Amino acid sequence: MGKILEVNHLTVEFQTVQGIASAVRDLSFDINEGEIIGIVGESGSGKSVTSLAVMGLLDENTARIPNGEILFRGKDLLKLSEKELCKLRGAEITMVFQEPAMALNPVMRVEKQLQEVYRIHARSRAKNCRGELTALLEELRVPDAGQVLKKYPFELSGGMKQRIMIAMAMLSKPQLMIADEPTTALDVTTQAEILELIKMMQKETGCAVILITHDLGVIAEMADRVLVMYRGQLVEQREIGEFYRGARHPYSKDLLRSRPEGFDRRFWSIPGTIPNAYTPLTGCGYCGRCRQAEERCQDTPPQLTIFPDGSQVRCHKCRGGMENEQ
Amino acid sequence: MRRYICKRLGVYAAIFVGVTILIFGMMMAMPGDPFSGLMLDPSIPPEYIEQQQEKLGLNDPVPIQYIKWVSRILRGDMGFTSDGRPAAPQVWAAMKNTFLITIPSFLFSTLIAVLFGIYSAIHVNRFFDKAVTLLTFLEVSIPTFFLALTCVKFFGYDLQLLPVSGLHSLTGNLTGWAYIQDSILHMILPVSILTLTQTSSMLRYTRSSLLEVIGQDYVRTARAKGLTRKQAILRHGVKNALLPMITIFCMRLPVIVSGALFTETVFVWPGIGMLNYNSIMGREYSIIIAIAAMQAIIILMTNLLADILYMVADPRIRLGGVKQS
Amino acid sequence: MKKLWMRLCQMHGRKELSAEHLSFGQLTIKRFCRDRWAVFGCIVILAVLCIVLAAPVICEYKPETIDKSMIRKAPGEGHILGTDDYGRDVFSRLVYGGRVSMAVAVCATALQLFFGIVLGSFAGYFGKWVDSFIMRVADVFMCFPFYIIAVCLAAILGPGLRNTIIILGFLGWPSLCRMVRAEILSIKENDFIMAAKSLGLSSGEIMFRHILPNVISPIIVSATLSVAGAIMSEASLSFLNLGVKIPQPSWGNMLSSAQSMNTLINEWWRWVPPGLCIIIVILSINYIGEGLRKAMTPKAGE
Repeated sequence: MGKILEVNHLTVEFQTVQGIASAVRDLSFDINEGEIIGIVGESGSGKSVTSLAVMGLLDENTARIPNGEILFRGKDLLKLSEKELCKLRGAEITMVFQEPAMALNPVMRVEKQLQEVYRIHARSRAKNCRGELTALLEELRVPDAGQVLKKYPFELSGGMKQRIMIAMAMLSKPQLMIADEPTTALDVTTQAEILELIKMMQKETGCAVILITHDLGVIAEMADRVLVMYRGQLVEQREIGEFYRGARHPYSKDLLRSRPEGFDRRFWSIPGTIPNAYTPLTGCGYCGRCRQAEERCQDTPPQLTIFPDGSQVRCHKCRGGMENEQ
Repeated sequence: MRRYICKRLGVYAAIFVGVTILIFGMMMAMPGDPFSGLMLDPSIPPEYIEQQQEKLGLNDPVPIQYIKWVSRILRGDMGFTSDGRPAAPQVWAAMKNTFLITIPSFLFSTLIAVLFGIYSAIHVNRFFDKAVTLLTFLEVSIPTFFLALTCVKFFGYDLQLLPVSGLHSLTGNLTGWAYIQDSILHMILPVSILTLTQTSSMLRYTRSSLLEVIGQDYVRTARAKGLTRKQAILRHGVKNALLPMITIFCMRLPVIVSGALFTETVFVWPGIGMLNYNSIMGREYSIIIAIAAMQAIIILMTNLLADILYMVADPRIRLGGVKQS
Repeated sequence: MKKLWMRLCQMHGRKELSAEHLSFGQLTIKRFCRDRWAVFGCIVILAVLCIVLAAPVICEYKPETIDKSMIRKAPGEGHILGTDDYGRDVFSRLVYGGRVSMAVAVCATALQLFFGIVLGSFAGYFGKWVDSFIMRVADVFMCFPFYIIAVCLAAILGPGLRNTIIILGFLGWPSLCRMVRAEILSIKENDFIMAAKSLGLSSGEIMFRHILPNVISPIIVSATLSVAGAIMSEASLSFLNLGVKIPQPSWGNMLSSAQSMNTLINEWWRWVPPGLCIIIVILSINYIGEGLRKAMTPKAGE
């Protein structure tokens, strides 16, 4: 199984009125063909910015990428021209966004918006694709698919719109699909359906998926591997089963602990909040809220420790394959 | 949809009544009446004056006068000026002259505003955008008449390039092509000035409307599909940005009738603006009132047009029954 | 003010000044100062204000003093900007005219603000028929192109300083009223207003102590731009001899002299300076207004 995406030492900064905000700091990870990776973290951890960086959709006025490379099948996306990137976007690498409400053009019919994917990447197929589109929507369990194609987005519910977004992303049978919190804006039952559909599509097409979420339950159901991000850094990377059996990083442990489970446990949330992106990073990013913090955590930034099985963790206390007991 | 139009018509009718009452009130409040000047002329018999006053209904109670007047205006009868000529032909003649300069300038300014506005928004904060922004600021700050005066001095006298007064040259009777050429030469300066002063607000609206749309999610989705930034903006953004522009465009239409007062004054152009001003100075009530009423009606109608057009263009209103207020 | 001072002292002690620690007012001022054009506008306006307020000191002549021996003289010979057709010093007329123009603009704006805010608040807060009535009246006013009605009113009331202020104030309130109403409508349904109501505050208290402070930002921006508009309107009316009456100088009526061909071509000093002053002042105010708008409602990428 080859590597489909390699992110090496990616750093993303934003230049704003209030200073320079570091959104992603020295991030490195790989994705193999057909894998489902879950990226999990709080708001502000840099997960969405990472996905936008891969797609090349960051705001060019304020975003700076001073360092790093993003290799898609060996080609560095950061060095490609806009034209070359456009060939890949929508065809090889696609994205599903968080808010379906405004993600579709309100004054253009659904069919036209779906058809556009063909018009951009495979002109010849655009002409008589109605049958294909209807079939795809039916696969995605859209009732009355033929009628839906003729409607405008504002006439559809959130779940329906998200299905159309997935259809749009899958239409060209991409190699990598990025789903940025695809279910956060939907109600719980619709969430489950959408996730099922994503998994189904993934099995059918064999594409790799980056699933970004703050919900650990979603990761448990969907992902093969999980990446935990905090303050723009990768703090732990683990295969999913191992992660749930015993996460290493204190932040991962706290996240697992804060899941609401059963009726007899009180809610527990990690105390404090993520400091804003303008505050420079000295030492470990999690230091202010970590229950296992030591002296050195304040001034020495921990390096990424790579274990024999491929998992990674960035913590002073989890070095050399040996964990410190709590 | 029909209900919507009827509702709006109702609102506009109410406004129209309010407007006519206001105009009528102003007319009543204006000092003097058309015949007070004549009364001092000893050669005119007082019976004649009384007869004229009776004819014009000046002796009726106020509400009756109001109703009589409204019905006359709606029929197009604008009464008479103090020299006995009917007012309506004078008004129409002046209108035609005004249209000669306001319609071309309206079309040019709209075209320039939309094109430059779109380009500015796409290349926001670059040189073109900054230059255009500076020009729009300047434009709002320069009084029309000052610009007109400067152009008259510069182009008319210093450079002797273009005629600056009136509709046609006073010399000789030109016919056919020469006549048209002469007219066009006379039109160049007024039209240019009107175009310049009208572009800025529409340009800023276009720019900000498109900028807002550019930040929307669906433009990002379009880019995620593989469109370049420019393609995404042009194919998905512009239509959405132009929807609110429809309203602005319709709201600007009345400018065709009313917007040239200062330009006409400086260029001595015999249009509605000049007619209005001269009538006010000369206390020609019938014309003042007729023009004011006409302006109000046109504005109401363009408002209604804006509502209808918006409804036709935005499927959200057409199909969803969403109330736009 | 005291709170602001205490905050500033607190800030001194901190090593790091991040955005979290600044209040809205401080952030606004900081953002405003980043806009070079807005700061430039401020400097210009302050300079102009200083000059017109120092009029009695810097002007050698009184603006209305007639000197028949010095009619239509070009700049020089004791008159920096020459004289007009009655021998009056153009420079002092320019400076005193600036006083008049700016005073008219500020007073007219104040009048617009008063009516606009009061009526807009009533319309927005009380709703229903109060709202409908006020809005229909505003619609009627907005039905006329500004100058048509202004000219009519000026003909009825006659020219003059006071009448000009009344006319400008009277015609300008509808758009401000609309804006205030829209802002109030959007805030009215917010939870904190319902909380205030449930605590038993009266309508007046809610309106003035809770709703209005939130509406202040767009009002300030609008007021600034209104002043610019009023200067333009006063100049236009005076140009037509329907505004401030000669011999009292105003920038607009100085420009009306240019309607005569002779003055236009040969006596530039009589009409070009007031025109330039109008342009500079309105431009500066517009930049300030734009700077305020950007500072109070920042958007991404600005």
